Amino acid sequence: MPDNAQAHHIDDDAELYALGSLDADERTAVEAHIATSNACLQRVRDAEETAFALSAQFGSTTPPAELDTRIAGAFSRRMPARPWLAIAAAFIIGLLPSIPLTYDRVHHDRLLRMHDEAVTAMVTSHFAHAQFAPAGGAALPPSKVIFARDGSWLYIVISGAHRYTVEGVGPDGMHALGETSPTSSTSQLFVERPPHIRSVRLVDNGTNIGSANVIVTNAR
Amino acid sequence: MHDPALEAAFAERREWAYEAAYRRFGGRLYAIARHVLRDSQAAQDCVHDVLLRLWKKPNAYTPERGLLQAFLATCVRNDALARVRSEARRTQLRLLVAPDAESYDLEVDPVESARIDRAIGELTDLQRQMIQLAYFRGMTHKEIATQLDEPVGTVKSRLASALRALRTSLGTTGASHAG
Repeated sequence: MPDNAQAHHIDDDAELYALGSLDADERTAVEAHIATSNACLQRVRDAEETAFALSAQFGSTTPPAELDTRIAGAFSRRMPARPWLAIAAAFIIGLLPSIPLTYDRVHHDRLLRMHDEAVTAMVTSHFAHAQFAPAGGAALPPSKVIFARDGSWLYIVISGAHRYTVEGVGPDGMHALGETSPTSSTSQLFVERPPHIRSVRLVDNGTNIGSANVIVTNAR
Repeated sequence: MHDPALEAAFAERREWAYEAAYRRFGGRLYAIARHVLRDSQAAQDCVHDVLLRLWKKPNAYTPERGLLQAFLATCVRNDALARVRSEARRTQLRLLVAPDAESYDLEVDPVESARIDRAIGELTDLQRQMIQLAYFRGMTHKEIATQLDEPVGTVKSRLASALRALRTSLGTTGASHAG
């Protein structure tokens, strides 16, 4: 990002932005300015992190299930960012009558692609597998991680059509690996070139419900 | 907690990253919105709308911006304040004075909370007043200037100085508990 020395800096507005003390117009001006100035971006960043520490006083609370559902609905079966592209493609390949099915089709195509990638990876590399063990007293459906011995990919399959968050734990901490995609009877996630991890864990609604070790014996 | 993989995916506007960020930080974000809005439905709308708006807006977040949870907390809080200020303009009500319509369980980390209390306690009376009015009562700098009968420029300077002093007092790079 270029640091635009010609532009005036936002000065104290950086802290006021993080405190929530600016009007809408002033906030917009700050957001536009920090896209052009590294120095001001750094100042906003510092102020935001301090304000975030303050927000610990508000505590944390489990959001209502209704919000979980809305967020899952918003981000798990969304059309591409350019919907006109999907519509144009539908015209070209003669699928216009099935446009109401576009959401399902996008999801279905994604699953097919993931499954294809996973099978190809298994055919072309040495792999091992490990069963997930439940964390504490958590209810854990039968679930496995299949992984390349050289650590180049992971394939997580869980019984039941439920969405989970998958996290990897490595020597440098925790990494978000993604969300599983439910089919009619399983939920799956294929991860290509994951970070260096030693185990994976399944997270359901913020709770770690199980983990499995990933033992890479022939690292890339 | 700093998670470069999640932050990179969020910056690339990958859908799973938004849901993962919500699962990771949703409890804190919802509590922030609820504190400001004092209403469950309004707080839900706020968190949902902020995530959706960020997803639709290229470059809204970049990893250079810093901790994703701090960025999201600012966005949610600013959106919640904008909603309540808009409502306050219509009804002429003061901000953040109405009790929450229903009770809800809050989990406060006692260690983190004590650390914040200590840091606030190390501020001068004037700095503490600034943080109290701006952050905990959600007042704009102009409202604070009016209430204290001080010039707007003076209040802005004091607010900024108070937050910087708090940062020093926290002795932190901002690394706070996630969630």
